[in-house]
Amino acid sequence: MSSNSRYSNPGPSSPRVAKAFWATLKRDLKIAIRHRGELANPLIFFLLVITMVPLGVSPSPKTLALLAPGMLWVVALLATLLSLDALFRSDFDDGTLEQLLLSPQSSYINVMAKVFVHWLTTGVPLTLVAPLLGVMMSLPEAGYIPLLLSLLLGTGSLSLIGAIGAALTVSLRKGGLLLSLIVMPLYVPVLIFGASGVRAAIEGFAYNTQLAVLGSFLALAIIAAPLAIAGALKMSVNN
Amino acid sequence: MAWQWFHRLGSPKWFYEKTTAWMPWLLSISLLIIISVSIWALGFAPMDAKQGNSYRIMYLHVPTSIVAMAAYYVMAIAGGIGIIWKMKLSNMVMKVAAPIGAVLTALALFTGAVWGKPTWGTYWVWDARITSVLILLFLYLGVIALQEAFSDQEMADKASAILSLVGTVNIPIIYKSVDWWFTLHQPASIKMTSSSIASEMLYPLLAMIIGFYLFFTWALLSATRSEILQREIKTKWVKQALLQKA
Amino acid sequence: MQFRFDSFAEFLSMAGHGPYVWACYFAAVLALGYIILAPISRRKSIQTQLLRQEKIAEQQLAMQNNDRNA
Repeated sequence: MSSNSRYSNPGPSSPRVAKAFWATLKRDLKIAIRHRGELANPLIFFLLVITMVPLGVSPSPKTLALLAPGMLWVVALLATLLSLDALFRSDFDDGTLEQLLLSPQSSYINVMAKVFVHWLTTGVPLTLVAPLLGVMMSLPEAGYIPLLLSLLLGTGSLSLIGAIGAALTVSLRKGGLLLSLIVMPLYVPVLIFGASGVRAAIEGFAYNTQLAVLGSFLALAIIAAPLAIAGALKMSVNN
Repeated sequence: MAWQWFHRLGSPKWFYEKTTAWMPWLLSISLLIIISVSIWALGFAPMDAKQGNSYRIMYLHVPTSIVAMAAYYVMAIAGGIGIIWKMKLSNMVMKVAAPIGAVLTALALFTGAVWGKPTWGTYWVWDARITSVLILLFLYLGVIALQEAFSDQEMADKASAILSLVGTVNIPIIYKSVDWWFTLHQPASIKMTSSSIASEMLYPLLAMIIGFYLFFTWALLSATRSEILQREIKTKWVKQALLQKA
Repeated sequence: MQFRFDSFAEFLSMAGHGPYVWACYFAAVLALGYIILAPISRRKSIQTQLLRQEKIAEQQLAMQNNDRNA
């Protein structure tokens, strides 16, 4: 059974929302696993930029510890940004995207599944690698758990917000730089609360406020972003 | 019948002909207000006890910041109307609002930075308000860049409408976040004193804000009219309107 | 309502704050001037564009007529 037949019309009587979600999810995960090399790219970028920091600023642990929370967050954000351009690209080129939007399931579900896979393949790996890079940046011990938690929550919002930009620029040949330009200002709140949560923990304060705010950003993004993404994809596909 | 004006608004021709008479009035009234308040602010306003003469910049900085912000909402609302009702005119308003808003935001940023030098001793301070205005400028530049990137006008309109609507949802969040971030990092030396403003200084400021709003209205209408001419150049009435004057 | 400066030179210098204040007002003149002039110059360019098109259309029409006459 080819993966495409999963999109066949299940009939108007069966909404099969969960099934549609899983079908898209499985298909995208399969594709992502087939292109393992590309999966590693954001991580390598993350590692590379973090390596540049001591070379460019100072290798002294004190300075690095001061920079660590913000630097790790900024670079994780940039790594996500770089991975976004490919989010809808191949599906747009081979026409899958059009099929997906024409399918009887609500495009909200399909879009959610695609973005979820993006998060699983970039946000989660970045989060898991971050503590390792925290060691290289001499991140104080108290910072690791909040770094993990804030990135786990924050990268979800980053994927969702970024997907809006990716959907808007997918039909443009040279969308990459433009994508960063339009998405980065929207990332400001996530960055502020993510980095400050880690900093607060290092300085010995409670960081649950920041995590709660990140969680509410994620909730808002889950509700609203897929609508904008679906609208933008329809715009890109229709011409 | 009550909605007739709304449907008429969808007609670029009706809009163009209707606004022709207003244009000179709007421009001259707004410039009259802006110039006369400027003269008052430069020469006749009392000197501020704390900031000295540099506070005369406030009469430019505050109105431009307010109108620059409002322009974003005008742009987003126009974009929303364009998406929902597929109104041609509304898309044109959205398109031309972006560059005007960007210029006003840049002016707000410039005056804010220059005002910072005599008051804080440095041109750039990561103050909450200046940072928010900077991000607003980025949002404008994003919309303009997106608008430019599409060769198809209809796609460009839809894309920038979606982006500006997303931006509108984000702006309050960005402002609150930046505010919160600033209270966290605020160095004690540059606390903003929000002392109550004397009425002698307040009324001219309000007049200036009205003047800038009128000016923005004129600019928006004027740019929309040019956009109409460009997009409707194939129609008979545009040809007539343009060739008559030539 | 009274002029707050004793001399014109003082008005220009504004007790040391002059350059900042004047720079801001100058920038405002530039920005507003740009906003005012941009649509007008755009209108002009649309006009010349249209005139050129009309001229080309007329020439083509004339050429067609010449062909027919010849």
